[in-house]
Amino acid sequence: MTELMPADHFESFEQQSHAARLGMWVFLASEILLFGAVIALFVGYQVHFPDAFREAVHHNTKVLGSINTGVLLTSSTAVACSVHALRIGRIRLAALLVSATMVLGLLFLAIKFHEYGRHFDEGIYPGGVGNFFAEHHARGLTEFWTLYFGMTGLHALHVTVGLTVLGTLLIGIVRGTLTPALSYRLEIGAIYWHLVDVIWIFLWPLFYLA
Amino acid sequence: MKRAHVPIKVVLRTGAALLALWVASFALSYVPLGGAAIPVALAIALLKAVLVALFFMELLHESLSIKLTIVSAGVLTMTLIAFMVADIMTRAPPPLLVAPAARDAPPE
Repeated sequence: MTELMPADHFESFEQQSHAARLGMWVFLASEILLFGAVIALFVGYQVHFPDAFREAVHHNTKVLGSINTGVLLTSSTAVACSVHALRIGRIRLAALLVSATMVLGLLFLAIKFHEYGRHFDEGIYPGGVGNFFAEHHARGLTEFWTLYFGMTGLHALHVTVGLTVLGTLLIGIVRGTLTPALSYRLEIGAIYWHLVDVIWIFLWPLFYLA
Repeated sequence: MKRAHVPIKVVLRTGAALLALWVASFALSYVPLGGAAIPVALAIALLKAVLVALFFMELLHESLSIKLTIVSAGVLTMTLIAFMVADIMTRAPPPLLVAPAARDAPPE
């Protein structure tokens, strides 16, 4: 059996791991700028139309959105534990925890799409399209619901990418190619999943609570 | 030098703290806080995000280069939002509430 070695241009796995983590954090910084820009847009409209935004938040599916927050927070805890399990060589536990994270991620998407379905049933579509807007004329409702679909949709896309990344890592764990020595790879996938969680942590109060 | 990791006990406590803050946010949304509702909700959100970053993402034990990368992105983004909101709030009348005809009319 050949000894596991870091890539040629690295002196050690520690150095390779740091370079990989730095790359992921730079990517996350760009994600913060992306979501920061759309949150700035949301806050700009919220300042203009506080009454319409308050009315829309009250109309939103608060309980489902809040359950989804709990689902994502639990999934983040699970994936953080999976990294720890892989580091100490508990391979099966790590695989189980990554699987649990993915199930929770899928549950999040299922609840999210159920919410969208309920909004569509009420005649609420992006761009102020639908019966709801024929009956509710307050200026700002169109902006709120368009931003709601746009920002939560963008987030759902990130959840989907995160699920794909975790799925790939899970295959590696199950096949035995992702070993404790390479646990930094799972760590990087987990860091991305935590970012998805952090973004939702800010979207939840904006669209469902405040 | 080998990097330190966050112990599993701390990871689990962080998870419990996050769920407690989640319940607190939900309960507070039923308390009439008026204009303070959004700042309070966002302050709790920021606290949760910091917990996730420090203990789940292990930023606590990361190198200075990584800490600088992410903290500068966060601070600069918050600066962008703060200036934008300050601009909109201090304009009289707010730009989106001015009728297009009046807005486009040439200055006298």
